[in-house]
Amino acid sequence: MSLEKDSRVHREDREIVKLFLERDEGALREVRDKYGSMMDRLARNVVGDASDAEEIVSDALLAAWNSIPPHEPEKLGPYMARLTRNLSVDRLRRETTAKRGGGVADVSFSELEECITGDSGSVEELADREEIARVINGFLSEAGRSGRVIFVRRYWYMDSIPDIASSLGFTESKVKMTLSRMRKKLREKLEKEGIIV
Amino acid sequence: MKRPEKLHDVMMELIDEKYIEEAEQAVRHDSPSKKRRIVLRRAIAAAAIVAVVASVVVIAGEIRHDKTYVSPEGETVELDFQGTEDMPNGSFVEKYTDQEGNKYSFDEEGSNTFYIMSPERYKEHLYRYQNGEYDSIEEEKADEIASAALSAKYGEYFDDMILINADFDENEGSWRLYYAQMLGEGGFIEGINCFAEILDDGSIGYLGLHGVPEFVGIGDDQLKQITLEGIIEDIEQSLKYNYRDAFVSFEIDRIRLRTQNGYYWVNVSILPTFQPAEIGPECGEMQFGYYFDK
Repeated sequence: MSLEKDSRVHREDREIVKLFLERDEGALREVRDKYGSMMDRLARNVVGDASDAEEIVSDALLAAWNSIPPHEPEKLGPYMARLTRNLSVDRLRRETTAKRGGGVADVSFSELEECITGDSGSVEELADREEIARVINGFLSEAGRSGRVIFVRRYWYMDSIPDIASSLGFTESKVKMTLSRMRKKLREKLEKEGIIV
Repeated sequence: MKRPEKLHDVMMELIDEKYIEEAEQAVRHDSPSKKRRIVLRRAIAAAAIVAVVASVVVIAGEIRHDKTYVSPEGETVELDFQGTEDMPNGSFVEKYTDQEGNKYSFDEEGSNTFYIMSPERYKEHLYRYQNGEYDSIEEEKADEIASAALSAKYGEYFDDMILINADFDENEGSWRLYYAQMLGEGGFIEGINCFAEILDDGSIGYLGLHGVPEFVGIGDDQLKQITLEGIIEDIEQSLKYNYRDAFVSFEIDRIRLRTQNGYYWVNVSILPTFQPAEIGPECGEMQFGYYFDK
C-alpha cells in the first residue's frame, strides 16, 4: 500500500461513523481510503511483514465493524490506529522470539522498557491504570510539541528513527537526543509519582 | 498463561488519543513544510543575507526596517541592517540595531535555532571575585562572558569545571536549560563568574577552573571538537581534555572578535520565506521568539 498522501477528498469522520451505524459497508471502504496507509504502516512497524500487516489491517476493519456500534468514536483516526496497534502487538506476541528479533518494534519496546528498568514491571504490583494514564498523559502534556510527537511516533507508532527524522524534517541525531532526554524525564516522573521505585 | 503486563506497554495503551492524533497529523501535514524548511534552511540563511544587503542598497536613503523580531508574547522589535563582518572560519555575520540602539548580530548557524539572547539582561548578574571582594565586571567583559554562554547551546557546571557544550543541536530545551542552570534563580551563577575570572585573568587554568567548549554529535562517543584553526574534527572522548586549552582559547578569541565592536552575537532563526502567521504559532508554542525579513 502506498504511503503517499491520498489527494482524494475524504469524508468527515462523523459521516463515516454514520455509515457504520447504518450498517453500510461503504464505511469500510471510506476508512481504508482515509486511514489505510497509516494503519498499514503502523502494522508493518510492529510485525515487520507486509502480508501480516495486510491481515492486521483487515482484522482492524472487521473489529471496527463489530465495535461501531456500540462505540461511536468522535475521531476515527486514533480509534483505527489503536485497533491496529492492539491487533499488531497481539500478533507480535504470538510470534516466536526469533521472528520479532531485531525489528523496529523490538527495538522500540526495548528502549522504553530500559527506561524503566529496575521496576518489577508488573502493573498490578505498582499502580492502577488510571494513575498510570494520568502520569503518562501529564508527562506528554508537559513536553514540547516536537518532543511529544517524536516520542509518540517512536513508542506508539513504532516508527524507526530514520523514518521519524525524514517525516518530520529533523536530523536523526536530534531525534535520538530528544528520545534519550524524554526517556530520562519520563523515568524521573515515574519515580517522582511513585509509579516505580 | 497470560503474559504479565509491562509498565511501558500499559503506558502506551493509555496514551490519550489527542496525542496519537497529533503525532499522525504531524506526519501528514507538517511533513511538507518541515521538509521544505530543512531543505531551505541553509539556502535561506545565505539568501536572506544577500537579500537584506541588496534591499538596503536599492532603497538607500529611505527609512526602512530590515528585520522584525517577534517575542513569544507577540512583542515586536524592528531591526535595521548595519553590515556584515567576516569571520576567521570563512563565514560571516550580519549586524543589526534596534530602535534603541541595541546591537545584534546573527551568524549563519543562527538559521537552525530560534533563540534571541541578549547579554544585556544578564549583566546585572555577573561579577568577579578579586582580592577577597566581589566586583562588578567591566562592561566589555560582561559582553564577552555572556556571549561565551550564548555561544554555547548547552552547558554544565561542576565544582572544578564549566562544561560548555556547543552542540549543533536544535533541541529547544537545551539552551534554556543552560540558562536556567547558570543564570536562573538558584542557578549556578557562580559558574559564569568562574568563567569571568578565567577570561579576566587571561589564563586557561586559573584557580584550577576550566571552560571546555566542545562540539558534540550524537553522544560522547561521537564528539566533534574545534581546533584553534577553527576546524571541526572527530575526536575520541578520551582526548577531549588534552585539547582543552586550545578549545578554550579558540572560543574566547572567537567571542572577542564577535563582540569587539559591541555587537551581540545571538542565535536566531532567519526565515524570510515564512510569514509570521505560518511560523509564529509554532515558535510561540515553543516559547521562542523569531525573526523574519521584511
